[in-house]
Amino acid sequence: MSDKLEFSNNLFTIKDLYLPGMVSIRTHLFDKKFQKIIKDILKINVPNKLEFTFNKNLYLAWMSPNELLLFSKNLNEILKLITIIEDTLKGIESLVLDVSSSRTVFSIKGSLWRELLAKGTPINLCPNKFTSKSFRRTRLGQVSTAFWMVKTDQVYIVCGRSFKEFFFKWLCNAANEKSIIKFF
Amino acid sequence: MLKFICPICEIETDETELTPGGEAHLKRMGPGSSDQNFYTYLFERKNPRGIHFERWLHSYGCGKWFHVVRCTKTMEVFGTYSAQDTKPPKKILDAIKKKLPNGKNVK
Repeated sequence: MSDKLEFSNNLFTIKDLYLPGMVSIRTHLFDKKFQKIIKDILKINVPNKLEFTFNKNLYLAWMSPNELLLFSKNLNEILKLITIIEDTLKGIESLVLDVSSSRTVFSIKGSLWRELLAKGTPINLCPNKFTSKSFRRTRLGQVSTAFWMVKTDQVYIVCGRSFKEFFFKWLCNAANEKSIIKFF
Repeated sequence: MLKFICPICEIETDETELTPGGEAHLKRMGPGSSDQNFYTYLFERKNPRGIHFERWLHSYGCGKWFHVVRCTKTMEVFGTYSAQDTKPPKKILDAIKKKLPNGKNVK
């Protein structure tokens, strides 16, 4: 199960970001003290509802009214940050949890990624609705996922690791060149 | 297809992203209540043909519960409101009253 999954055709390159780092932070997000701590450590603002913020390779995303997801491609960077965040959040009601091993992240490269994702999700992926700031948790096929735009032609998709292979197959199938309708 | 606005995400969510939670505003019958009351609380749920107050979970999204008022006959959605509200907001009740002048089926 630890194989590095990769797929590419003329339109898309789908890649499993092998062993990325992810931290779930649960607390009162609107708490000024918490927001200042996050800004001091990560140099990132706490994101607004349904959005994400980033600093270089470090992404901070809004998961729910009391949960944030901190993501980096580099697992070691995340492991270092966890202890720092945990220590500084002492005294504030919070939970900092390393979820790197329970989730996985796929990268889809290709300017037509909206077409691919629209096959499986009920959300509106129009460029003016799903923008470069947007972060959405939703359904893709039968899998619960979260995705955001990294570049104009690239998205990152978070999904549970236990159905990583199933989801990879789903993505490869949806990426079939002949089935892209160019709606957006 | 049912579409609700999740009061937390403030965004339109699709039925397939949600999990139904059954009748809303139930009064819990715990220890100390009579067997009949407990039985009714546990098993007997309203399933009206008309206006229905329901709980839904935004399971594929923010993972939070919320309340929905909809008509099971016409599929009209009157509105959604926070799971912490013990009563539907006045705005929704007024919208229902407009549809049903005699106030039938309204809690």
